[in-house]
Amino acid sequence: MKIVRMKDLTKRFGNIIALDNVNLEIEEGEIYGLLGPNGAGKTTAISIICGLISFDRGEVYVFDKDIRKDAEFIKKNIGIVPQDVAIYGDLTAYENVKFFASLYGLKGKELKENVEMALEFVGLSDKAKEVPNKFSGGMKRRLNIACAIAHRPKLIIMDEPTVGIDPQSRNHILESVKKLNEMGSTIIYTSHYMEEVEAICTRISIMDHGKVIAEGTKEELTSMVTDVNTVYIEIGSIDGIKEEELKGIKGVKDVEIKDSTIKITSLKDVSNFDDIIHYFISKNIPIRNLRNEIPDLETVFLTLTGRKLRD
Amino acid sequence: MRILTIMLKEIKEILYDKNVMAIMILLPIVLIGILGFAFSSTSDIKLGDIKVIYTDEGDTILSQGFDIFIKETDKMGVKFVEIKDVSKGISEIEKRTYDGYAFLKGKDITFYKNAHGDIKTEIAESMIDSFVDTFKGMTAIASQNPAFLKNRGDINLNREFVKITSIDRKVKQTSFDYYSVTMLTLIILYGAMSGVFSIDMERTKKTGRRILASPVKKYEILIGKVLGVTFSVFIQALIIIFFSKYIFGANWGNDIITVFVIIISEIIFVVGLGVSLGFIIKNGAMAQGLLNGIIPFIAFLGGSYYPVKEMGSQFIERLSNFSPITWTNTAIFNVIWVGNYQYVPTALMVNLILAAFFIVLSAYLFRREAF
Ligand SMILES: Nc1ncnc2c1ncn2[C@@H]1O[C@H](COP(=O)(O)OP(=O)(O)O)[C@@H](O)[C@H]1O
Ligand SMILES: [Mg+2]
Repeated sequence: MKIVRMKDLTKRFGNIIALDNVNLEIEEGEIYGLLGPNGAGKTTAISIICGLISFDRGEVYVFDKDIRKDAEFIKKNIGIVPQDVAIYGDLTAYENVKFFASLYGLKGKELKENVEMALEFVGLSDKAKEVPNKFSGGMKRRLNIACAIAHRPKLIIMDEPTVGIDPQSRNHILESVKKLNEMGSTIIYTSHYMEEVEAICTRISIMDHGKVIAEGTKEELTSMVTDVNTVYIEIGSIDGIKEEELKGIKGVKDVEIKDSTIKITSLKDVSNFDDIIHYFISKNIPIRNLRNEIPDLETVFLTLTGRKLRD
Repeated sequence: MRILTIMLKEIKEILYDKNVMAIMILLPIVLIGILGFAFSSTSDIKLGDIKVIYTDEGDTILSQGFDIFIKETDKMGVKFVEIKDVSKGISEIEKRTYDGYAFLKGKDITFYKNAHGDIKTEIAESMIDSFVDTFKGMTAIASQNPAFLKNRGDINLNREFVKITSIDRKVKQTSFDYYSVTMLTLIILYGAMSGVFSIDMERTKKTGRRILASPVKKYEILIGKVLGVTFSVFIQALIIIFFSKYIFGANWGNDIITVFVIIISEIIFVVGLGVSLGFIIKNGAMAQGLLNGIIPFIAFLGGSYYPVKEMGSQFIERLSNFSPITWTNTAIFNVIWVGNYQYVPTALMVNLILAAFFIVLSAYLFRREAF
């Protein structure tokens, strides 16, 4: 079953085209990343999946059902962690989670157990009776997540859940995303932090100006923008090293020698690592340091758009 | 079920909010105290005194009975002033210098009044009505059995009339009695703020999106909210009634249920108003400012701060018909003081029509767009 399927989805706000012919398919069990700068259209895409806003053109299926016909069924099975923390500051953490879970029809013992489970999951069990007005930013973010998972949705959507919090809380949240996925939920994760998306997502769409500009696994995406592999080798002295000999190794495209560091660029699909190391060993030149440069999603975005993800 | 969930959440949010509770409960209690004391000590502003004029062209028995009657009522703060000329009496009533005019002619009393539903007029009228009833009963018996009056004599007759005038436990309304009702219906108007914030808060806290992402229907949200805020304001009203009764000894009459029904109709109207303002003005502080501007005006016209009739302006009195609070206050006073239900349907109708209008308007606005 496809969890989400978007076909030629277009959404306008007046003159602004928030989504421009978006096509997406999300499989069951994925942690699907939507990566893009502010204003790319991530929240708009999510709002449409949740049935919060209408759209101008295209089709949207969630759990193989048409969002325009089966909104209620779809909504029942989604849990959303909104971009802005959406909780009641004067109600206790427990009451917050309980309220939202009740809206999904949970009651009685099941309600109580699931609420406790959700608070436990985000590590707020001991704060259950306290009001979020007194919480730190990270704790509020965690409660924001708890409110979305107590009804055990098939699909959990997290819209920039780590904005504005300390690294420790961020790691906690990233870990919990993986755990929720292992427990059986499909996840859609939006962010403009490429490190996060790289770290947890199985597949990624890169969005910009309402368009999906690239889609695939992290490896697929990085190989799109670069067909080379770069190695930096630091040695004691460059005496006895001949550029021509290095260039003679299979797959090597380019060699640059600067001070005591040699930069070797090879074709990506040729594995010549052994040969390069062997060259230095055979010359009896000790290697002091070795660094392999892997292109990241930032590079991908930069290459595709000419801009950085975060300006 | 989900309506109940939303209703309970709304109640918790309001009742947990100490600021709102302080304003809604402490403020009216303090105001009842201040206004109550202020207007009970000043000599030139006596809220309670009822002034009635009369012309006596009645037969001997009626005149005699009426004399005893007005002596008794005088002790209770109801002053009867005799006027010889009937047309002068009627013109005094048109000018509203008196609360009523009793014209005794033969065996009958005609009561002239002007202010519609004014509580002092109503009290005067109901006293004269019960006097006439009792008087007629006794003269009927006397005509069958002439010995009756002779045997009982003046003293017994006197006692009968004392009984009439004390049908209502209290006759004279103190300023505490007055302000307990008007401050309650005034502070209920401020319940509109809770209506505004029940919408605005979902917007500012972004929780509205979260609710709308759940499978709850919009009509369930709206009904849950209106019921929740209504219930909360009613709880606040109950506390005010309780305090005014037991701290200030305010009279709430013998039929508190009817008073509750009138109050609830006012609350639903006010909550509907607040909720629709919450949808129309997408800024809570602005909606609050607007309400702060309108409410004192509506309240002034409804006699919340001072009885409209005592202001002696016919213009303001006519204008007061446009304040929904006028009808609510009149109905409540009449139920409490004279057991008169005549004004209850009008008050309910005014409140419930306004409530329906604002709730339908809210539903329409909510359907078109989110919070
Ligand atoms: N309700 C709205 N009204 C008008 N424009 C909007 C609205 N919501 C989003 N937009 C515009 O649509 C574009 C995409 O916004 P959004 O989906 O929020 O991006 P992201 O979540 O990727 O930061 C932006 O240009 C934004 O200004
Ligand atoms: Mg966004």
